[in-house]
Amino acid sequence: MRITIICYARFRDVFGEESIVEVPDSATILDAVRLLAGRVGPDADLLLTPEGLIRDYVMVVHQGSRILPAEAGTITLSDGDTFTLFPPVSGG
Amino acid sequence: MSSITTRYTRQIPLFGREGQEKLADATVFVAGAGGLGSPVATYLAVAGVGELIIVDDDLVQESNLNRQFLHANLNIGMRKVYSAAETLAALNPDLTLTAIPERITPDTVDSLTDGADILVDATDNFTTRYLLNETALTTGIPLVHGAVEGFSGQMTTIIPGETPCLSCLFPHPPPEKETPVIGATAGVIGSLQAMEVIKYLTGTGRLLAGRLLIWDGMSGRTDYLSVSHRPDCCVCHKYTVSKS
Ligand SMILES: [Zn+2]
Repeated sequence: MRITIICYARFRDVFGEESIVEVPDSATILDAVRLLAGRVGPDADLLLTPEGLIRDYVMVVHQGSRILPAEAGTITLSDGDTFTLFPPVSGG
Repeated sequence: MSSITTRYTRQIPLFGREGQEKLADATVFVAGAGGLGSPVATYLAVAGVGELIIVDDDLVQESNLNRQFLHANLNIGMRKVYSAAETLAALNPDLTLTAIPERITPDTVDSLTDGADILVDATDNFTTRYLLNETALTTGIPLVHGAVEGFSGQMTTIIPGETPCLSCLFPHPPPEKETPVIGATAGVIGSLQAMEVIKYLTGTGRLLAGRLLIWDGMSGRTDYLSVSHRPDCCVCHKYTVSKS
């Protein structure tokens, strides 16, 4: 399946604005994020913990809703799906 | 208020004289007189909001001046809230301004925000943001959240008892470090925050309540996501009666 991942802000700098990843059927958001992260070497740690889980501050948006990092492994994707990765910011 | 008709001629058609009077009767609490605080306080002052309470314990530094247009060169070294007060008084002599050069702490947050109709989060850290969130939940005063970094930012409006709270949305704070930022970014998000306040006070439009706006100026992308209560949110749990 082809999945599109749109990255904002700091994530866009590292992973690109819009990326296509090829994942097997019944892959989850977590699987797709791992594939994307795997493309960049050490900078992957911006998205993933050393255990390969999505960092807990990362905002994942799928079909207009927020997916918590802990849920990303349970959300199954469909061919053609798009999701967004946004790094919440704290400056003022 | 003699100049009300002249000063506000171009905006009264948007929400009527009644709306203008609601702005004049309102008190808005602005946490922070920096990058976000500059557009927030400026647009609220010139729109005719009656009273602003501005709290910030920082001094103006030269490195603030790429974005914090409440302050100018001659204000370097001065308390930001006093510099802000001078600027805002010159922009609108009808404004009542309470400038408080203090840090917002768990001990002071309730008295500082007392009497406010709405709170604006123009701070630069999640410690203060979570504090404002708890105050919003205990008092029922709405909170407009905004944050920026580089060319991007986020904002949402929290209506206690209706929308998810800030901790539902951000159970974990983003990593905090001194990050680069350009003034125009704070200008975009801060202006949107001021807009939310004006909409709330005048009862116009649809608030960004229960929705988070995410914005990336570098790619020109904007998105909205609907956010829901996190059943395990420890902050909501403490303050709100269980809602379905
Ligand atoms: Zn909550």
